[in-house]
Amino acid sequence: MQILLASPESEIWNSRKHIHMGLAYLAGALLAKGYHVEIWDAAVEEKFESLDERLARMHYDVVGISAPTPLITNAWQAAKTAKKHGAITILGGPHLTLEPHESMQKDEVDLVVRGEGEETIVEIMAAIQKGTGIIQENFGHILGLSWRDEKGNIIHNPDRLLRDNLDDIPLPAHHLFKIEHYTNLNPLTDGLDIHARAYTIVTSRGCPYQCTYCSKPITGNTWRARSVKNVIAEWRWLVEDLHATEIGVTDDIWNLKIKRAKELCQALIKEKLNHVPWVTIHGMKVNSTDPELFHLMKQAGCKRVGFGIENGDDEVLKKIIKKGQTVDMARNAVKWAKEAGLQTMGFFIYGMPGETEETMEKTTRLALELDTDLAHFLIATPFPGTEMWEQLVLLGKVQPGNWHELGIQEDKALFAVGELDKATIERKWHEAHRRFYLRPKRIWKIISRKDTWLRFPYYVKTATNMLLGIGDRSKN
Amino acid sequence: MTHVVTSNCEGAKFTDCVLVCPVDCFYELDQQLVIDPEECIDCGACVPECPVEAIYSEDELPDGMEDALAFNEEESARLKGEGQDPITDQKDPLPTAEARREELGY
Repeated sequence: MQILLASPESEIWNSRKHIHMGLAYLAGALLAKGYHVEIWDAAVEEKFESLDERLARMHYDVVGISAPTPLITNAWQAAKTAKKHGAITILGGPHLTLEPHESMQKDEVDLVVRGEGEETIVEIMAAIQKGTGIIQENFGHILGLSWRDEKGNIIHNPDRLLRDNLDDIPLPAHHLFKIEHYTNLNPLTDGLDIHARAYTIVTSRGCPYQCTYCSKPITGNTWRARSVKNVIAEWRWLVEDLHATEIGVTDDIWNLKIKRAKELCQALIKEKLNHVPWVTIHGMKVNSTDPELFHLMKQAGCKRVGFGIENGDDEVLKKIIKKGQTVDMARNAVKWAKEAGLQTMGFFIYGMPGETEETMEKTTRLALELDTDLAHFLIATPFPGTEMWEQLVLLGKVQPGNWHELGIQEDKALFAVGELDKATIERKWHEAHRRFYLRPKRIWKIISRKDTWLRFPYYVKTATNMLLGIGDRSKN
Repeated sequence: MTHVVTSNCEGAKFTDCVLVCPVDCFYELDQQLVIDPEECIDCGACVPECPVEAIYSEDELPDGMEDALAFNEEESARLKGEGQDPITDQKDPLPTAEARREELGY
C-alpha cells in the first residue's frame, strides 16, 4: 500500500519552516510496520510540485493530511485534491481532535483521526488492507477514529487513551524530509547558521499546566517523558547519521522535572553529542529552573533558551493566564540563563481578556528590564479548546468557523474585552516592538555584530515587518 | 500516584510551592502544608520550589518519612470536609521557618 502524508501549510503562517513532527511520528510508526510512506510538506514542496502534480505523477492508496486550526480549510482543499486522484483521505491533528464532526461532514474526508495517531494510523491501514473499500465494519474497534458506516452515518469511536510509555513509539522518520529546504532555528542569533540542517526533537509530551491561552488537544495535560536513553538514541541518529547542524527541542514543557532535564544534559555531555548547537523552541517554564540547570544546558551545547514570560503583572499571571509562575521567577530564570552564557528569548502576550492598558505597559516594562536577546511579542489569539476561547464564545466575541483568521492576523487584535479596545492592544503591541528593539544600546549591539552585516538583507526585511508593520510576513 | 509534603515543612511553611501548582492541590495546617492526593496530578512542579526539600513523590519518600502519605491523605480530606479552600497565594513563612531551615541544613 502506498501512503502519502501531507501537510498543507504553505502561504500563511510565518517564515519558520520546521519538519512537521506529527507527520514524522506517523511516518515512523507506519515504516516500522513495513508500509511504504512518503511525505509532501507544502511548506517546502509547493514551489517545486503541487499536491495535485504529485498525485498525478505518483499513485497513493491513502493520503493522510494533518492540520492545525488556521489551516483547516487548506486541509479540506488538499483532501479534495486527493479524492480527485482516487485516494482514501484521512485527516488528523489538533483541529480534527477538537472538531472531528465538522470535517466528517465533508464528502472529501473519509476518516478523521483524533488524538495521538501513531497506533490509530497503523490500525486503519490494517483494516483497509483487510477490506475491499473504505466502508469497513472493522473500523468500529479503532479507538480515536471517526468514520462513516455503509449508510453514511458518521460514527465517532471512543477516544484513545494517551500512551504512557513513549519509548515504545518508533522514532519519527526525520529522514523522509528534504531537510535542505527547511529553515534554520529562526530567529537567527549568534552561533546559529542560516543554512543549518535544523532538525527538531520531542523529548516529552503534554503539560500539566492549564494556561488559558494554550491549546494542546493531542498531547494533553499529563506530562509523559521519554527515557533519557531513548532521547539520546534519536539525538545520536540526528547528529551522526543525518548530520544535523542544529537541533530544536519542541516539547510542550521539557523542563517540568528539573532532575530529568539535568540528566538529559549530562547524557548529551557524556555521549559527546554536545558539539551540535540546540535551542528550546518553545518557552521553558521559568519555575523548574535553577542555576545548575542552565550551566548544564550550556555544557550540553544549548545556545539559546526561550521563556514563556507572558505578562508583567502577577495578578494577570495568576488569575487571567493561570500560568503557575510569578514575575520574580521569570527574573531569576533569565538572570541565571544569562549568567550561564546562554542567549535568551522571551515570549510576551498582549490583550488577554481582562487585561488593561496598564498591565500591558507592565509587560513591556518587564521585557525592557529583563533585556533578553530577543523578545517575541504576540497578540492573544483564541484557539478552540482553550479556556480563553470558551470564555470569548460566551461573551459573543468569537465564533467557530472563521478558522483561517486565527493564523494570519498576527498584528491584529481579534477581540477586546471590557474597557480595552482592539486599537489599544495593537498600539501597545507595536509600541513594545519599538521600545524594545529601538533602544540605542540594542541598536549598537546589533550593528556591532559581524553577523548583522553578513545577513543584512535578512535583518532589514525582518525589521521592516516587525517595526513598521509593512511587508508580507509570510514571505520572509 | 501523588506527591506528598513531608515533615520537613513542619514549622517552616514557606509556601513557594503553591505558586506553581497547576491544579491548586495544597491545603494548609497550622504548622505545615499537605497535598490532596485526589487532586495532585503528580507533575512534580512543586518539588524544586521548596527551600527545605519537603516534597517527594510517594514512591521516593525518604526512609522514615513513609507516614507522610497517609498524613497528607487524611489531613487534606479532613480540611476539605471542613470546607477549607486550597491555599493558592504565597504567605509569609512561619516565624520559626529560618530556624527550621537551619536545623535541616538547607
